[in-house]
Amino acid sequence: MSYVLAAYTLVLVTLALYALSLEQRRRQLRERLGGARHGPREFRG
Amino acid sequence: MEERIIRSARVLAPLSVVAVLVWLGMVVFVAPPERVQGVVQKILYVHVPCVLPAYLGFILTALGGLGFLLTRREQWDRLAHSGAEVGVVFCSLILLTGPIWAKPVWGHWWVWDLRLTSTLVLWFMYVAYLFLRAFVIGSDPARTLASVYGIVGTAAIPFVYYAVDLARGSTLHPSNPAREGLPGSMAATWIAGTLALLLVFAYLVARRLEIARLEAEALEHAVREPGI
Repeated sequence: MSYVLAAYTLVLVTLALYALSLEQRRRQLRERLGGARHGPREFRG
Repeated sequence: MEERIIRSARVLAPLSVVAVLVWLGMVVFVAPPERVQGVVQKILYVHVPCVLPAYLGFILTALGGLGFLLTRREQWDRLAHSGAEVGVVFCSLILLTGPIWAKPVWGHWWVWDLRLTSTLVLWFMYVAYLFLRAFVIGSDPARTLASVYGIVGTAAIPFVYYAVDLARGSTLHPSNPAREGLPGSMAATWIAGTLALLLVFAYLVARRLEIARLEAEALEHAVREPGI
């Protein structure tokens, strides 16, 4: 049973963490670009 | 097309969550423990469904590469890159869940048979592709090289898939499930897992594609405003 739990936990946690990291990266880029569209100063910060 | 894929993430996210919950419910409540292997066999309902998304990711890499070579449009290159990254995630999961099943059933975490070794080689090929993409950013020759690499790389997929047949009985790995024909509730659980992970795959590709496009926009801004 522990093997089954290990396999499913591994898959679900890996996919969830990957999805979260993509969401975070996407949010950061959108914020940066949102700033850049309002001028270089905001983009820098 | 790129815009449509990116927008689909909004629908795919809730659909993926529902599909994963249904699939997990079926693994626990619908699929019976197998006669010989017992409950450990349930690992195959997560191991096998990871295969199609991995292959699809690599096929997307080839299609994106082909599209780029034909049109020279960057959106195809971004699709190729996104497919490879998500494909590698699923291929890693195949390589990690396989040994978790193999240890209690075979008594070994890993054996160097044709299927396992060819899958590992496939994984290395696309990890190398991602390294290539990571170290050479944004140049046209690099995109061309990556496109050719991505197209050639898919030639390994049929070899990996048919490795069990090619090994002619000298492999411990079970034969391809679709050809064996699983009984009722087991087949339904396997299909539910495949559908759920395909939805997750589609969602991840859509999100990764959006990031690739945002990165391209950021690079464009940086070139236009060198002080940034």
